[in-house]
Order: sequence, then C-alpha cells, then structure tokens
Amino acid sequence: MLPPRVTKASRTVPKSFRIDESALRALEAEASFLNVSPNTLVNQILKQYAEFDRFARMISTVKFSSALFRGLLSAADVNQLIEVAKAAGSSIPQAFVTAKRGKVDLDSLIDHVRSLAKYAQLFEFSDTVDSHGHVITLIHDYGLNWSIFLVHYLTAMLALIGMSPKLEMSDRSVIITISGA
Amino acid sequence: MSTISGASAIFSLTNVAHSSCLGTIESRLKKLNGIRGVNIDFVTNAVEVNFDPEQLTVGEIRDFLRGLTTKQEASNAGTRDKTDGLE
Repeated sequence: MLPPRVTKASRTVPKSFRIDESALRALEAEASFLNVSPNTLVNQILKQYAEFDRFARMISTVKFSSALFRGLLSAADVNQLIEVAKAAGSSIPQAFVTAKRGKVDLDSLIDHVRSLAKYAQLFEFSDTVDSHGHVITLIHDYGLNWSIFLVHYLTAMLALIGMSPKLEMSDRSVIITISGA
Repeated sequence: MSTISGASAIFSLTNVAHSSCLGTIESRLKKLNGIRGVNIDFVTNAVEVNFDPEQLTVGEIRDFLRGLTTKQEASNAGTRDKTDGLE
C-alpha cells in the first residue's frame, strides 16, 4: 500500500529565460504583494502549467466564475446531469492521465482527482490510506447536484480499471472508499 | 486492527483577502501536532497538508484553517495593503 503523496519540495535547478518586460513587472509586483520571492511565484506558475494546464488544454477546458458554475449546476436536470457525468467520467480522466502519466491505474486516477482539487478548485480533497485501502473525501459548496455529478463521474472513472468503490454523498461531500487497493 | 499509513489533504483558501498572510498560515499549521508537511501554493491558494490521521483529523485541520482565515478577514478591511500577520 502506497502512502498518500508526500508534500515536499522537489529539487530545483538554475535556468535562464528571456521574458516579456511587462510580464516581469507584473510578476515582481505580485510577488511583493504575496510576500514571496519572484522565484517562488514563477516556480509555482510553471508547476501549475506543467502539472495541469497543459493537459487541461488538450480537453478544451474553459474558465468561469464559481457563482456561474453553481448556478448552472442548480439549474440542471438531474437525469441529464448523470448522463453527462457518466460520459465525462469514462473519457476525461483517461485522456488526462494517459497524457500526463502514460498509464491508467489507481494512483494516476487519484492524482487526477487531486489535481482537480488543487488546480481547478472543484472541491477540497483528503485521502487517508491504511492497510484496507483509500478513503477519499471531497468537500464542496456547490450543492447536491455537484455531489450527484461527482458520484457518477468517479464511478465511471474507477470502472476504467475495474474497480467498484463504495460511495456516499451529501449536499456538501462525497466519500469514496476503495478497499483492497 | 489496521495500520495507518498516512493521510493528505488539499484545502482551498479562496476567501483569504490578503494572500501575504499565507506564509503565516503555513508556519502556524506546521506547529500543530500530527502535521508532517505543509505546502502553500500562492498561485492557486491551495494548502496541501500531510498529516498523521491518528493524531489529527481533516475536520480539525479545516477548522484550524477557517479560524485563522476568519481572524485574518476580521483584521483586514478587504484592502490589498500588506499586513504583518494574522493578529
């Protein structure tokens, strides 16, 4: 059983680039506001691109406000939402993790869900691992329809590797229990 | 009886009005018993935490973070001025 991914600083290497002067001024101003070094900020921007944005671009993602997202979800027909979730769950994670990790397995699919929390802010994420398996909890404030969507998306996603986890949900959370992984 | 291998979590601090205080949040989180590692992403305002689930629960960490950000919001009037800390 692999423990959850450990948060630790990866090795850094020196590298020089020529960048647009106005972009540099914006970076320096933002770094000053955030009270971090421009180096830290640039590194995190590049990491977001390396770990998420370049793969998200391949599936034609769009960005809009959380208020609009919440409104669209609440207006959606539940049965149609479930069909969309099933179709998305059986295709998007596979495309994403294949491009990013080169293979579709439990670790890469959990990494996909983790990325959706970190880079797309679709929910908060926790993963507890013991000898029995994973318990993954997603917390959000997008309402019951988002929980319904996630349950069907994740069920279809894990079916890609032949897994049928136990899922529980409320209007603010989804809990996925993966045994024997 | 199962053996706990570990736990990780990603919290969103999108309601933080002053991102300059994220460093203070990081240092305070690290002082909690059971915290093994903290990483704050200043681009996404995501807080990644590795912790010992036998000493700390996700809910306790979330409550701790909410407490810190509530203090921060109360001490800042929603401007983009620099602040020295959370208190």
